[in-house]
This record gives sequence, C-alpha cells and structure tokens, in this order.
Amino acid sequence: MSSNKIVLTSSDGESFEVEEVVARKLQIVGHMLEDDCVINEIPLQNVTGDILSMVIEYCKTHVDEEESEEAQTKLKTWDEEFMKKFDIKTLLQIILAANYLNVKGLLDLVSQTIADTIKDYTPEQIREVFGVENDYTEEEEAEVRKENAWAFDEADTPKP
Amino acid sequence: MESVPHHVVERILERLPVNTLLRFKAVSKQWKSSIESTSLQGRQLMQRQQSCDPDVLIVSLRPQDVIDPYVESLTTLVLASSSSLKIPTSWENTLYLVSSASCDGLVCLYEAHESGVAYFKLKHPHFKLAFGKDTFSGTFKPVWLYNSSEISIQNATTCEVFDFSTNAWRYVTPSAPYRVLGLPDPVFLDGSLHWFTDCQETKILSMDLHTEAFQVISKAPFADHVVRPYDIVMCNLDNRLCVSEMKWPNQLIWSFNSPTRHGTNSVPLIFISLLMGLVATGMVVVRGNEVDKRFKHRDNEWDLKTWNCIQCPSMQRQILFFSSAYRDPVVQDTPGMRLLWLGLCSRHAYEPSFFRLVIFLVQKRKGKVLQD
Repeated sequence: MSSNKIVLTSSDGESFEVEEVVARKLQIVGHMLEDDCVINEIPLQNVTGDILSMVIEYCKTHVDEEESEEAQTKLKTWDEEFMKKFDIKTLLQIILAANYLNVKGLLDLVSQTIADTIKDYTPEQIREVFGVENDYTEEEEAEVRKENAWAFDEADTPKP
Repeated sequence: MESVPHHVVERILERLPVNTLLRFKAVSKQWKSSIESTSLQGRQLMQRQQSCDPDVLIVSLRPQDVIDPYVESLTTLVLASSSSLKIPTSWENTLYLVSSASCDGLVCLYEAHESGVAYFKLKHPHFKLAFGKDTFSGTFKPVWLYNSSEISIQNATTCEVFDFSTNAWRYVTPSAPYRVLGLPDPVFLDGSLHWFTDCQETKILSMDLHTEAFQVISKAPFADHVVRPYDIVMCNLDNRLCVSEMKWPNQLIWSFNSPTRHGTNSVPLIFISLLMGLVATGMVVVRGNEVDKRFKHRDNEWDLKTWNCIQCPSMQRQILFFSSAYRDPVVQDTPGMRLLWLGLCSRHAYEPSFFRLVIFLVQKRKGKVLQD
C-alpha cells in the first residue's frame, strides 16, 4: 500500500496531512486522484477545519475494515462513542461534509444518529434545526396536523 | 444554519419511524411530499425491516367487544419500547373487520356491509378477507375467496379481488378448483395468498397475486386424517409458511420450505399456536436463539419432504395458563425470554364463543434486553 502523503486543506485554510489510503476514503479525493495523479495538495471548499478533522478521524479509524466479527463489533462501539460527542448542529455539519466529500460509511452512520436524535422533535424544532422555511398557510398546516393528529399525541405511555 | 440539501434530508427521513414521519409532514410542503412519496416509503420500509424489532398492530374487531378501550381499541404496540399508541380511525364506531394478514406494514380493515353484502346475508360469516401485494406490479390486493355451492353456483369457489385503481370488486375466473376452509386465516407470503382446502385430504392452495392463478402447492402435513377447521391454523413466520394443528397436549408447527427457499438451518422463530377448544386462539411470537433449544426438531414423519416440524409442549401450557386469565394483561418473565401478554380478547363478530387472545413472547434480541 502506498504511503504517499496528501495534504487536505479546509475552506478556512487549515491543512491536514494524511496518508493516501485515508484520503481515498473521501471519494471526492479518490476521483481527483484518478483524474490527475500528481496532486498532493487538495483544497476542499465546502468543509471547515474542525469538521474536516472529524471526518479524517473517522476515515483513519475505518481505513482497513476487517471482516472479522470482533473487528466489526469494535468498530461499531467506536462509531457509537464517536457520535456521542456531537450535538445536533454539529451532526448536521458532519452530514453535509460526508455528503460533499462522499464518505459512504460516515453518511450512513450520521444519518442514523440524526434520525435517532430528532425522532421526538416537533415540526417547529425541525424547521429551526434544518433551516426549513414553513411554506404552509395557517389553515394548511392545521389541516395536515389534523390529518395526522394521533402522531402528535404524546401517547407513548408505557403499558401497564 | 444553512439549509440542508433535500437529498440529504431524505437519507435521514428513511431512517425514522412512521409516527415521526407523519408528524414531520407538518414541517413544510416539500417534507410532506417526500414523506408521501412511494420511493421514500419503500426505502423506509426496508430500513425498518433490517434494523428494528417488529412493530405489532393490534386491532379490535368492533367497539362493543372492547372490554378495556385503552388496551383493546385500535392500538399499536411497539415491542422494542413496550409502548403503545392509539390510532383512531375515521370509522371508529363502525363495525369493521380486520384481515389478519399484513403486508409491508399495512393492515387491511374493511366494512362488512360494503364488500361482502350478499355474503354475510347468506350466512357465510367465516370466510375472511385475504390481503397481499402483487410483488411484480407493487399493487395491493384484497381477495375474497369463498365456497360457491351455498349460493347455488356450480363452481367450487368464487373469487373476488378489490381493484384499487377502479375502487371496485371484480371476479377472478377461473376461481379456486377446491372448496376452501373459511375459518383459518388466509396467509400472504412471497407474492401469493394461501388457504387450506376443504377436502377429505387437506391441501394448501395458493393464489399468485400477479397472475391471479390458483394452484395446490402441497398436502397439509396433517392430511392423513380428518381435521376440524377450528383446530388448524396457517401463518407467515419469518417469511415462511407455517401450519399447525392443535393436538393436545402437543403443538406441532410445520414450516414449509418452498423450493426457492433453501438454507433453513434456523427454526422458525415466530410461530402461531392455535388453542381453540372452548377458550381462545393464541398467537405466540418468539424471537432469538435460546428459545430454539426448548423445541425438539422432528424429521418429517408425514413423508412430506417439504415440511419441517417443531414441537413445543411446554409453550402450550404457558399459553393455556394465560388464556385462562385473559382479562388481565400480564407481563411475565421466564428465563431467557420475556412474555408479554397483550390483552386482546374481542369476541368474534359472528361467533359469541370465539375469543381471541394474543400472546407475544419476546426474547432478548441480539443482546438487547427489552426495557421494563
């Protein structure tokens, strides 16, 4: 395996020197390397340094994915611990980065973590966190809420 | 916060449970249209099937049968969290029936007087609506198969299919070549519906929901003797067709291995047990490995190479114990598993002595202990 080093530069000018195998976990980098194999410094416009460092941390851990069950369990535990560190805002930045950099495993992991986090949110909280504009009229929104009224009940009362 | 691109939002949505998705329809028009799109619903279903405990929906047959409305009205019970949720229907005070088969997480409720008019008047209450999906075209089909002779038609059976594109019932010809037993619930599996035939030698009849053709797929494992319709049951357990006959003191559950389904090293982890007698129908759901050891595997003593069999005497005693106490919801832990009793005991609409009991036996699943 090549131990060629590649420098990744974030939008705010922070640079990270990583091994090529790690950088290739970012499929966007993989494609650039295929297009032109002499690159050794890659600017990544849409990611800030603090988020990029987390993506790199994930890629380093997942660089050689072993098949054995033991290794898989270990990775899974690491994933869980890794995700616990972030609040919802950071998770959303990571998913944007994972999407832009095209890191499949991280994208799945963060999607699931976000889903677990937001599952009890109200529509208002969702709009705020996701930056979604409410394009319903008052009547329309009331109608949608009425149709799905049972899903709004706080009915998760435990069984006797 | 910059807004999140919608294709990224959809990746998250497909990992959410249904009630959350319904709530999130109120976020915006775009969220609503995504949540209502069939492609997202398909991906959501796949995600949930891969990663979650089964969601169990319990439905009462009609309002006047409900002893405890909290427990017994249309209710979802999510086993993973042991929480329940009441889903009101727009026809809560109507007499409606429930197809026992569910498909892609959908349950078919129907009003007796709309579809089966002639039918109920002619006193054929026992034939049940079957429900399944044409896996080729992706359309859902409620199917009504009933014996014809009682209504003075020559053919053995009459078959009607409800067509959602025209919102009307249509006849299927030719219908099933054998009379069918109306009492056991029809079962959907793998794009086909299944019934027991009403013959001297009980057979399993299937209907391909795409071609709408009927065929006999096998003799029943208990075809060598006369069975009472009340004593047999058919079900879909972990995507395998299973049948069982009540034979006190043992319960034999046969799982059918179709030629396309190899690799049957695991015992069906979910099975249904029928304990009619005077008291109850019970359904037991077992998940996990430890439970398997309690069952004795038997070879095919009926010389039907396509059937596997498990025997579970101890389980039956537990069921009987609970069925005698059907009014009180019971949760009991037994070693290695958790027994959850979901108090459903609605009287069958047309058979006063017919009580239904549903018992779910849930085992620690993949190391995850169910929370108290």
